Amino acid sequence: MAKTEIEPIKAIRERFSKEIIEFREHSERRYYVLIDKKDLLKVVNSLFNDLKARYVIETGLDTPEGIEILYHFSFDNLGKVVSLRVLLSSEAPEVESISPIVKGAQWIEREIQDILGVKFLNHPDPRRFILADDWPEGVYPYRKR
Amino acid sequence: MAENKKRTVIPIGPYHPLQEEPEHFLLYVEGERVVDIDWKTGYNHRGIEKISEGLHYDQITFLVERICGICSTSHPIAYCNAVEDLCGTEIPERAKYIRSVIAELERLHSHLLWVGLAGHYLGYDTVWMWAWKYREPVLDIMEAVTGNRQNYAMMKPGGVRRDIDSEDIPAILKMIEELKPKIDLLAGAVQDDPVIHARTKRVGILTKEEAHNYGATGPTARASGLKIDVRRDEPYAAYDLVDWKVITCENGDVYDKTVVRLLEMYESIKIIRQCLERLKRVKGEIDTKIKDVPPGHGLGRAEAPRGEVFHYIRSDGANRPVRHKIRAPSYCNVPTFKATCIGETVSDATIILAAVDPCYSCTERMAVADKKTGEKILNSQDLVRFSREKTERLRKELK
Repeated sequence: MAKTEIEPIKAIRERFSKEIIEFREHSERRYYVLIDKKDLLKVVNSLFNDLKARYVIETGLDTPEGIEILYHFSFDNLGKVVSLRVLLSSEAPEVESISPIVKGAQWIEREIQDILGVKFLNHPDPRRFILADDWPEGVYPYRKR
Repeated sequence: MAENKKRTVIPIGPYHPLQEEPEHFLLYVEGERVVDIDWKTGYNHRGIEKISEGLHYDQITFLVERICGICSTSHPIAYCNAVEDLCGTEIPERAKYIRSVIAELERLHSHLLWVGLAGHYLGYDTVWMWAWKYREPVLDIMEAVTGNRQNYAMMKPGGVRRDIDSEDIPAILKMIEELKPKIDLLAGAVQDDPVIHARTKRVGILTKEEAHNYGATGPTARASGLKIDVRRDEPYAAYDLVDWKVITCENGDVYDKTVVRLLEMYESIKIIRQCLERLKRVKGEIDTKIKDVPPGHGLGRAEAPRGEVFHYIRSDGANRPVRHKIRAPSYCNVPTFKATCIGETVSDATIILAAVDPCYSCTERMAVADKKTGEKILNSQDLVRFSREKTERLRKELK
């Protein structure tokens, strides 16, 4: 495919030079970009709507630094995956939902809410997703402690 | 959801009568028309991502092979790609060809299975029985080559576990040559039958824009004109070493989704044939030893018959991952029902839902209800019956 075209990655670095806290190039196909959660919607909107990246999925995990969410976006014509990372506090993890921008994010955000207790602000349909109806409140199976 | 109380709800599930998997959809209907759709999930959540955190890297391959019973090799391939991405490992050339052969044989039998199911939904039971009969030789070859009809246990991080013997190659070549005229027959049946056209053309359209919004993948996305295929976009296994093309259509209806799958089978045959020819010449190792797994991120993808399988691994340098995220293609394709089912009739809903070839145990569950009373009045057998009756009606009209 058109491997000469590297614009999207460059565009992200230039457009969000202030917002990017850490930019890591794991390989020529894998990029991990740490940003603050306040800038999330702006960056996601740009990736998804302007640069036409395909939304792949979100990964939520419990780390010693806090709850981390990765938003994986694929630039299919280049075979590259850009993963945006945000860190949330373990005590009260809260982040804006990207579902109003990316419809496909509704399920996974409900799932992360179930398994890690992350509150997705302005989610259009924040019902329980995979946990049983009688699962106790405040118990999150993917928290490490 | 308040207005949904006035509508009829048709529940489909908790067990799908055809696909025999746990799924629970709720179709909200007014008269014959679907006005909303909802789903419940979690009935069969197996906690595989969590189990994976307690296994070491070699064991996980076998665990993820059990995610899906149909495309059972796509998860191990995506997982191995993730570990190899994390470690920066390049696998031997021979292993690449073997991976592609197994993955494409799997695509063949998975698509044949789907064609059969789709035929049955539409009331073409002959197509169903033929397609499944033609699928058997593929499974027999799988058994001969790997030892198993499903869950082949061929993959490992760094390469493959078993070689393909030179004496097995003629049998595989013979099988794919014999399969080709049968695909011609199925493709001909779909492309020439006016009743199938009436049932599938302009039904359940997923626009290119909505495919992007929902992040659809695989044949579901390609039927809508999105030219994406992990095999080409980020070549793994031997897909950049052989000649083949990505099949796309433009309309995004059920017909196009069917055509994409049928034509993809020809490409699979092309890929298998080339890989086997190369296997005759390319000798050598079939795996690279991975000694240490460094801390960091590993991200691997594979094009399963239903679309992109995605695996993400976070490592802290120990012999097991800290987090292993898995996303099956149906997780992205099933939500597109919101775009494709609403406004269609109940009798078309069955085939629209089947057209993405959903894999519930990878993703999880579906029901239809009276919108006035909220009562569940139809089950999935009823829906399949509606769909089959509609075909019968059309068949008589077109005579």
